[in-house]
Amino acid sequence: MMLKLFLKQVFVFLLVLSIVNVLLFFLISGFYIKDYEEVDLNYSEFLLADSHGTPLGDFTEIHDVHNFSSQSDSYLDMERKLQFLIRNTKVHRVYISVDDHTLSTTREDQNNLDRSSFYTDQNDFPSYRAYFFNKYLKYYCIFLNDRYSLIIKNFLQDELFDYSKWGGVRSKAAWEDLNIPEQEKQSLDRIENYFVDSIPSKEMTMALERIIKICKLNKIDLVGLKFPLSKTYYGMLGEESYGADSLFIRNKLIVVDFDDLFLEQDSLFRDMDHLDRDGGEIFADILFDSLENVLK
Amino acid sequence: MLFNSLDFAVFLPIVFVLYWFVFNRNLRSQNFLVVATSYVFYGWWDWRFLGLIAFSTLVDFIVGIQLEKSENIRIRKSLLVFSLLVNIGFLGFFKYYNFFLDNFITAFTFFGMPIKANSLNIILPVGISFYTFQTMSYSIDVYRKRLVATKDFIAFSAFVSFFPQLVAGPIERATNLLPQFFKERKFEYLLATDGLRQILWGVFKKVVIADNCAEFANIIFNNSTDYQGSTLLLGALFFTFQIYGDFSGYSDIAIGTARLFGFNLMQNFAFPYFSRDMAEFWRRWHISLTTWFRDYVYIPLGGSKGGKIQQIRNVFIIFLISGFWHGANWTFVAWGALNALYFIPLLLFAKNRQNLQIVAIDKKLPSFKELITILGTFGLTMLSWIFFRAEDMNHALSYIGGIFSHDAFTIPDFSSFPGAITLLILILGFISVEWKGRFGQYGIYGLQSISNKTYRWAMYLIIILIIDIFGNTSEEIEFIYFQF
Repeated sequence: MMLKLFLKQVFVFLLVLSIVNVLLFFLISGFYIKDYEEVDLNYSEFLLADSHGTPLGDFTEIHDVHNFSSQSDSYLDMERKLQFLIRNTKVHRVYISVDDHTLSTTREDQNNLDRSSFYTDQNDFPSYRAYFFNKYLKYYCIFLNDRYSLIIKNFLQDELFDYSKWGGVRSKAAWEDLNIPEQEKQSLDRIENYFVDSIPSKEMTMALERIIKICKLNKIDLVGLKFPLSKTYYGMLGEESYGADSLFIRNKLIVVDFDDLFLEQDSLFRDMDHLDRDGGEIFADILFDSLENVLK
Repeated sequence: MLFNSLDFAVFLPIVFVLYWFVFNRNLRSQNFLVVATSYVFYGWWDWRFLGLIAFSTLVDFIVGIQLEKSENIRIRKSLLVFSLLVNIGFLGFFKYYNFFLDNFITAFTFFGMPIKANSLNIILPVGISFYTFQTMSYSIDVYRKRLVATKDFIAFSAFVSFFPQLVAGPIERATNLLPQFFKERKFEYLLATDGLRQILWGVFKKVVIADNCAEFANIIFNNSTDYQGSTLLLGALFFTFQIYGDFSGYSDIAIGTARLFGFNLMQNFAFPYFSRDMAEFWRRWHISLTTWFRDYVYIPLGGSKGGKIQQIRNVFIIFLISGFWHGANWTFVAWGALNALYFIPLLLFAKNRQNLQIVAIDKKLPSFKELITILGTFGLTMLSWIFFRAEDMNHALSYIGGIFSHDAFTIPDFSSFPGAITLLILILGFISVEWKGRFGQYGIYGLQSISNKTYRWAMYLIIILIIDIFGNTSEEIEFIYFQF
């Protein structure tokens, strides 16, 4: 009798918890998931990149390329997206980021695997258990998804507990307004963040190799892109690279290297290695105009 | 298997269902399930050491029966010594072999007689300090005729290996836990709901307080030479809450889990950071170990009876052993010695039993005097934890030296520790809840007396959300006391 009552109470509590979960999921999906799941399937050419590709926004569409980039996308996420495109579109060309940091362990750790599971099907996982856990449990259950918790935590921390913001939101200075020592300091932070290890991530390298293989099998043109860098960052980075571009060259694939394109135009950058919206618009035009010649 | 893991979240409901629905026909089958699941629980970490628990169980079971049979004092003494030698032998080998070896080498070298010996690569079996103390308490109590030896091997095995408290306590006395394996178990609704509530609070302490504090404490302690005094002080503060949240959190989960199966384990922590003096602190911190040492070492040595010198000797012995129990490192011995130094003045001036009840028993807030004594005791505790956390004595001393440097009163560099302010706010909230709940067994014990179910459940949901949002769940972090 008492045991039944206990189980009933536990069940009802879990039900209430599920309702809270649903409410929170909708809240999070509004600003974290929804945009990630937006893809136009009417294109046959796609751009896959991490945050380096996002400033190009929809300026790529003028050139009949759909920008399928997302902040923090790793090659594992791009692989899932590619498989999704193969299943759902007549994709024939993919432009993919082969920047110096894309094979880093940092990118392996900072990825979108929780969100990109939206693009998966059962064949993308080694077992049904892994498929069910990633595609449904982790995706819909906020209590199992660390990233969802982190987003809420960061939001609360930034808005409520960051004392430097009390009394007004601090706006970030534009890259061009920073003096050289400050640019160097921020560039160094970024380099130290990306280039922790001396060798590339195995996981990322294998994912990129699989992407190359999948494209070959499905007769998809794969083009490697290196995005523009600011002058300070470019100078400090030097030869530092995990060599995603070299992997492409070894596989006889085209790499279009634009990392020194805007060395004298800091005004086009949001930070040391990301273009701003204006930079993205200009770069989209230059990129696809020049590619026309290369890919002829 | 860690309490804060998905594995345990699956394991616990399965064992619960089996225990109350499948193995509920008689006590023996329920006890058998407890043994089987406890061995699975332990084997999940490393199955190779299951033999050690089994052997220790067998030795003490046989010793118990033989002690019961014999009235010959010499035989009884020999049996007890045999049991103690086996248990302390295991502990000595796995935990202290390399420590003694290294120190012997250092000592011989110091006296100009260098010796060569190879230290062994020994893995410390999780929980060995806990279950060996538990089985020793059984042998001692049977020897003292305070307990009748059991002839039920399954029940005795269940007592030794009971999974909720197997790896990090509370170190149960045979007189409290063993008889519960012979009592018919009826499901008690209030006991079970109380158990769930205590588990929830334990998870909060572990995942939100301890694991987040660990992140900052580790950075500061591991790079202590890089930081100014105030940041070092912050690091010590974080470690002070880490160790409390970690260990008392584990105890809460253990006690709560046991309650789901109809068992009552002893309270292990009674709001120690609200203590007004060090004697009170030691009545409230790791109660199961403190009382173990009191009953089986301190009192046989004479306790607080005898002359002042004898009293001081006994206090030092007890604290040094306690320090050494925690680990084979001089830092733990120093930690024990420092606590002895804190304690002795209270003993000498007969002030060690002046604060027996919880602070501000009939008030909402402490008086100014109480607040000062609480803060003073907390400060002394925090200082001693530095020895507990430091890598070696040099590290501990340089850390303390760093705190007392000229920049101790500056504002810590919070920009180097994103999230530290949030954590301090969480700690403040945690202290408030613990303060309000200080009359109960654990922080949110009082929630059970709130008749408004909606309010009660809303509180649980809020705690769950705080655990989810602010908890350090990126990886399953082991409990500190697993290493002891």
